Amino acid sequence: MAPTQPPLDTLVPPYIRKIEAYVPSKPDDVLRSMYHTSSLVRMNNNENVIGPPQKSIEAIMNFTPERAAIYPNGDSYHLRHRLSEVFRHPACSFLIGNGANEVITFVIKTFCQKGDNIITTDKTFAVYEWAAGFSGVEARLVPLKDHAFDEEAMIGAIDGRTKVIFICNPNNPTGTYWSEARLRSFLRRVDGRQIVVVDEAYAEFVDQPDYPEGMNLISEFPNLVVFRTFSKMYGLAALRIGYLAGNRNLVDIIRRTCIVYSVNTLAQEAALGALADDGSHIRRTRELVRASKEFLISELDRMNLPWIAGEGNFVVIRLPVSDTLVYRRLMAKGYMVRTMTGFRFPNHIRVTLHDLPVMEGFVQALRSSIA
Amino acid sequence: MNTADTAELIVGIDLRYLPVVTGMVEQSAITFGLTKEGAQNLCLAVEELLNVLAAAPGAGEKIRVTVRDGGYYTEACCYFPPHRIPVSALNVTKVQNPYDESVIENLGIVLAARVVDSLRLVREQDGLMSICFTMDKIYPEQILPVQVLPPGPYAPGPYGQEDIKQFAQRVQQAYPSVIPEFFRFPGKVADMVRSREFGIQLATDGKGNIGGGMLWRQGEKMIDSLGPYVFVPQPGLAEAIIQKVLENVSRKGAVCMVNRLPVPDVPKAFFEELAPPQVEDNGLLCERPLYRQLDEDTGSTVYVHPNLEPFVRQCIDRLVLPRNIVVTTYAGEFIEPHAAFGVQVARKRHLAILSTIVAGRDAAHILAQYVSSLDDDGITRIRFKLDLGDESEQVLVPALRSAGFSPCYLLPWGGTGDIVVFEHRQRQGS
Repeated sequence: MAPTQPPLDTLVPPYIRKIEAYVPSKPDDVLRSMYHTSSLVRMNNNENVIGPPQKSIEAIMNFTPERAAIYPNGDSYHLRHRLSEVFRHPACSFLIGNGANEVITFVIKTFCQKGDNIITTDKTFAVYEWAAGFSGVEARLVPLKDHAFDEEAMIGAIDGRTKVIFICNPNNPTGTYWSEARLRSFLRRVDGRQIVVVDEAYAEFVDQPDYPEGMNLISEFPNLVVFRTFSKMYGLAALRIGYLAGNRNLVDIIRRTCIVYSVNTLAQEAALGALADDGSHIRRTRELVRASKEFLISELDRMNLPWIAGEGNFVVIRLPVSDTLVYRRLMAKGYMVRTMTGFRFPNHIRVTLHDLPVMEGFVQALRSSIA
Repeated sequence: MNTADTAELIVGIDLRYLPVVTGMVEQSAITFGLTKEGAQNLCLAVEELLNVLAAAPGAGEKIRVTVRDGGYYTEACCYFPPHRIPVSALNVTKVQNPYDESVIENLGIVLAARVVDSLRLVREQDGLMSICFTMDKIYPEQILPVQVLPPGPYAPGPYGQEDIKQFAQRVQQAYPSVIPEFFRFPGKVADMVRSREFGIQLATDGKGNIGGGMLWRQGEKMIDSLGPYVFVPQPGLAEAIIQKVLENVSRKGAVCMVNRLPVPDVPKAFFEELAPPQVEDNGLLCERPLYRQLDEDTGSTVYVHPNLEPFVRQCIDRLVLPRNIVVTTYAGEFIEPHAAFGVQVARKRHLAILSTIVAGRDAAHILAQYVSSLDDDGITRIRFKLDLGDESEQVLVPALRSAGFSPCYLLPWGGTGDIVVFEHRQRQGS
């Protein structure tokens, strides 16, 4: 006799029933086999093609296998203290997470309950909306204006149940950013009534004088929370480590929802190595991104393909055909890009910038894939 | 148990409960908006089914009957243990000889299918069988007097119920030959949207005029779309509508969108053609749907009978699909003696779509019976959906061929895996 199935229609909350699980991509070896391609260049996740900084590599190399048996430090003590030195905030103002995705859920769990809402935009990093969905919280999506967050419309969307406002600065995937003046103006208008999260996942790629260092505004705006990650510029995506920073009283509250021991020892030590870099890693990466962005844009102009390129190591390209079709054609040629239909940019792809030889091959493949 | 739009009853499979069941079905259907006649038809279908189920052995077993307000229809579903209904009964599609007792015992299902607007028969995930009968609600037909629309501009934006009704009427005017019948009933279209089974995006001028729009049915994995329809010569309007629709549906979990009735205004840049051109060269009339994936395709395995392998390979190569193709081989293993097929009949569209419930040895015979019976019922298009994600179904390919079905196109992710849609050859030109 078949075992009795649990009554999922009564056990599972309605807001979980109505959301779809995120299905990650298959491993590269499986994808290569599926698409019958001997090589696969990853241009889909905005990883740093240079890899981690030298000091992070050394930290990883120095990790002896025996240490895998020992639990990590539960709240990344040394890393928080190093961040405290770098950004001149108390160590207790930092919370380390298993990637920035985890700290997003910490914030939503801390401040939101049924009936509350968060505000973000319709075309940005999907995890704010997704985490709100599985937490039973409404995500209010304010359309981008000129590819940038629209502060006027976001202010207009706030009501008595708005708890958190997420701003991706610079925005993934459009690369637009709010200047310090614009961010300050927005924070003043919010006037401390809601939590404002500024996600600076791509901050280290920005080399613009008016780009705000969110960390410097925390003392002035106690409702501000800043997200950073080691996955992008610092090339530690595989180790999953990111963090948030904010006013210590705020972080004390957020800590209540924080999952301790979720950040492994290797990630903590590699992140410490990244913070010890003398700046050469960032300079080298920025130079690669600048050169390949220039190259790609000039080639796209020759192909009459519209593009969106702001700050960050990626460019969004508008295609004359379906992005999901071009994805398959590019995969068969060994190039994995990110389709943008899921970002609400149908018929667009986002391409992570690589060094020039790879970009040249990609342009050739793209040309034949849209023919 | 009653919820806002569903009534439910669980009773033993026993004719003693017949008045209870029919009473509940009839009263619920009337409450949910059917006419008395419509409610009685639904009732008759359920009654006939209960008669068949009660005749089978099995003590203490129960039937769950639900009546649901679908907004523009009312649906009665019966859930019961599958052994209660002989597989052969599911396939009795017409009565050859009314004095043949073996036929008479299954007559109920035949009758049941004839009195309702549609019938859906599926094997549920929990092992139960379900048969759902649907009766559409009655709406007045409305034709809008021809009115020239102001030049606009029009843009995708918010809309109200009156806008939906105006849209339906303008679709009738602009595309009279290539649209589903429901557009003749604007109130029904409004209720279809209200039911949330359908989504809609309209382009308006902000002054109460509708310049175009798109309607779609949101399935779990697949979205069936209609349009974009445009009523004004505004360049880029169709693109703006489809773009907005894709933005709306892109994070709702569906993996693909299909448009089975494309009109010339569909911007081809957003879609792929599924049907290979040479299918029509072979003289087969296939529908030519447009398709769009909503997710990155990271691959799957398809099981293919050797007879179908060249067709599937051709489709996969043309669409650049990442697929592991496993060619199935028969090596004397057990096959169910009797086949059973689910059938969805859209009587007003003269369309039937068959799919597999049980792949059995008598499939060719059963399929031939279906074709004959549906033909008698005035069904002019018969399709068969073969799921390449289910290896057990591949044994049906020779039976499909011999029953007169030919493959038309491969629909990626149309079932548990990709599906191949067959069309019955004898239907062409009818």
